[in-house]
Amino acid sequence: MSKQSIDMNQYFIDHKPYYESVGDEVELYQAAYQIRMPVMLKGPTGCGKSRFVEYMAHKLGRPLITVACNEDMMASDLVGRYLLDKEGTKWQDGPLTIAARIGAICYLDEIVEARQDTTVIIHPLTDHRRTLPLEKKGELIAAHPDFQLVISYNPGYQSLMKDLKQSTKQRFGALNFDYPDESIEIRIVAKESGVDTDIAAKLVKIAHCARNLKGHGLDEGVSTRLLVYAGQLISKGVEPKTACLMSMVTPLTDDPDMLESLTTTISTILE
Amino acid sequence: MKELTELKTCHRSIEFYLRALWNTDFNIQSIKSPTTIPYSNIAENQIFLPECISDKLQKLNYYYAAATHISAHTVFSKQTYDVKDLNLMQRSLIDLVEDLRVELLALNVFPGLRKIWLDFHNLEQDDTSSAIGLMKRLSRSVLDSNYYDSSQWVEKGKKLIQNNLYKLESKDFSRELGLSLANDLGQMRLPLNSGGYEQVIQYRDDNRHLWYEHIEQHQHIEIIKNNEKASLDNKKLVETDNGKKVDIVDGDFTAGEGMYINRKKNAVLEFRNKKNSKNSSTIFYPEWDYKSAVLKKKWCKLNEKQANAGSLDKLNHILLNHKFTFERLKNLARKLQVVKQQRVRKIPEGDDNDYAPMIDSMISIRMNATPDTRVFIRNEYRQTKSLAISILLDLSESTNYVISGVSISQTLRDAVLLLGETLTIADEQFSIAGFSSNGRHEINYINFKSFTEPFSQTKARLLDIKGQYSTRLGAAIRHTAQSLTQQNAAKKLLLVITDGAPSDIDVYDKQYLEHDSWHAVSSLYSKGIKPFCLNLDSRSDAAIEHIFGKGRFETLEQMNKLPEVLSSIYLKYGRH
Repeated sequence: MSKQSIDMNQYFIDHKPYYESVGDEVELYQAAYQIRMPVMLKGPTGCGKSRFVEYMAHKLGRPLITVACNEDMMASDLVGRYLLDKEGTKWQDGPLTIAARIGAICYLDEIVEARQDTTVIIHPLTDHRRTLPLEKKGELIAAHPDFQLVISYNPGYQSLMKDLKQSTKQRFGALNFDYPDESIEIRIVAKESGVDTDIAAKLVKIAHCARNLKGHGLDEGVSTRLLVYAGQLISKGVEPKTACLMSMVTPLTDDPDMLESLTTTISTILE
Repeated sequence: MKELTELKTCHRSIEFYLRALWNTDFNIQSIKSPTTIPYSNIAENQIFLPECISDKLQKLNYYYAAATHISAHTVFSKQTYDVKDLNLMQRSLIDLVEDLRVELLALNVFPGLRKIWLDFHNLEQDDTSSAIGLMKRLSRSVLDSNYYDSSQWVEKGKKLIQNNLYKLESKDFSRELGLSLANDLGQMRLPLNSGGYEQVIQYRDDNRHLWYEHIEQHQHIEIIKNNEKASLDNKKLVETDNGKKVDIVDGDFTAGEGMYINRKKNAVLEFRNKKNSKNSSTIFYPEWDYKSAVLKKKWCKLNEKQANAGSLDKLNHILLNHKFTFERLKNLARKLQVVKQQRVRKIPEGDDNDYAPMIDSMISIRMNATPDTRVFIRNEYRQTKSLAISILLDLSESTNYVISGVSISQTLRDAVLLLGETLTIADEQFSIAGFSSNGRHEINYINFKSFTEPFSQTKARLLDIKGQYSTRLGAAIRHTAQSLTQQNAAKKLLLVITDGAPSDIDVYDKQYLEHDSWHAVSSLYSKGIKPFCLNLDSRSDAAIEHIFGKGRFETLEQMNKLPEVLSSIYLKYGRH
């Protein structure tokens, strides 16, 4: 596939995504992009990593290509493969190859889910070489000057069993993400879901309580994303307790004792 | 028949709940004695609640009310008072004001607690003319802003507390207000009903943590209890060899297998495995002399024997002490259990098409070349027994060294107990042994668990862990490797837990045993065994690194780091 036939426009972010900066991460990312340093975003699920990447791609005016990694993903799913058509075989670029050709930001979400032999494919792209060898095709792509690689992963319970190789980790500058501070989180929940600040504050308080249980029966705390869901349900007229149960308790755990204590916590805070 | 609800049905969810509220771990235990007034041990975050309650109380969420009240004390009660010069009325009112103070502080953070507590402030049948009745009404009127009381004293007390809300966190609040209220109540000449201490509201604890006298008494009782236990341990009924005559043995219980019964009524009956005639055996092992580069044949004499079992009660007590670490380990172990499914690619027969090789084959067909027929994919469960772990403990004299109040051998015992429980849940096969040496002619190798025995039956032997003599590591590693090689597993791991570099009384060259251990470890690789060392003393890191190699050891200095260290060992060896 030649460079001209790729429709670059589909990869641009149309509307400015809503993102509340919690520290100096925007400036740091901009500096990293200026030197095209590959960036790793670490943080628990639903704390705003993907939203941040979208926001930065929009701010920098670059197309964004996102790949959700999974354990069945092979190297050819990233770089591309030969397909068959009636005339013979045809090379199909993978998302990483497209990004390297058009100078997009390539975002590999939940990179630890991919197997280690798959992730090494990004090595030549993430050091001084900035090249991508297409082994099967016999082509060596030099990355577009605007190309940048971003990966994200959740260093929680998963990384006990799945971890990145040191040789992969040490190719990235890293930004640590966590759930935002109480006041910022209240603002985010209120803005995204349309509930008033009073309810948003209560939702955030419930989340803080549930996060106290991380590692003590819960694998993960309640994410900001779930808080927003709860808020959205409430602004659609759902009774607050039911909304919280549906979006913040039931998805988190199957343990009946834990369900009971989270339910009691919710009624303690919502009254 | 009276319906009862037991604490054990909800104690776990209450612990979760308290942790969610205060971000602190609480330990809930049941009171077995006839008293049903809850009490607490604030210093250790322990909450004692009645073992069972009536269904009527359960409907009111009694356990939650009591636990949240005590947890509020733990978080907000930092003050203790002296009983001296105070009469019963004054003490009762200081208690009451302190209860209200911590509840008001907790309500500032979690207003929803009000409902749980108010359910117990029902005043319908209360005697209006007793002091207790008035105190109940004061409690209600402070917590419930919609409630007005006809008694002047209650309204005055309510106002007094509300006017002083700004200094709720002050340390004199309860004493000051309590004494003032007691004075007024005293003037009304209303006696306390029983003449003794009485808890006004049912869910509240006895506030023993507020009073010096009680705290001292409590400690005293603990000491007596411990002494009783110690003296009991020395009196055991022991089954003799012929299995008929039963003797009471005083003093240290060392010899023998059989059965013993504590003389107390609720004593635990414990069985020991029958003595096996083969359980003590002698084997010779070579040793590496690094100066002459010779492997000295039959140089060390190793005696293998089985450890004696101890009391399961004690073991459970240890597990209770490390409850929170154990919980984390259990979670980890369950996760490790799950990761057993594996996708096998590029096979000649399978459930689904594997597209990449299939396209390659199609290309080969178009090119008139011979296609590869392995184009399928299949989900397979990994063989459950793919990992075998041998745990080897250093039981030398130096493990008796005490670090911050706990001896290394105790830490070792607790760590191995937790590790054993974890591995049992993760369904891995493992063995546990320890060693110490007294010169090359006397290497004691103590078996705690072999691969074939279940951990549940052998864990009591871990109480036999004690430090003595020296550390001749090489021979012990060679012996453990012998049994580990015979296991049928894809991965074999030898986990050595030690507290220092090897040494022995008949060796003067410090390097000698270090080199021998290095030799023993190096020979493991050719047998398909991966060695790993858990070092309990960072001072010997250099020697351990020489023996095991870089990245093949981890230093564990605190028990609560055990889960992290364990998970990193799994990451390196247990991954599938």
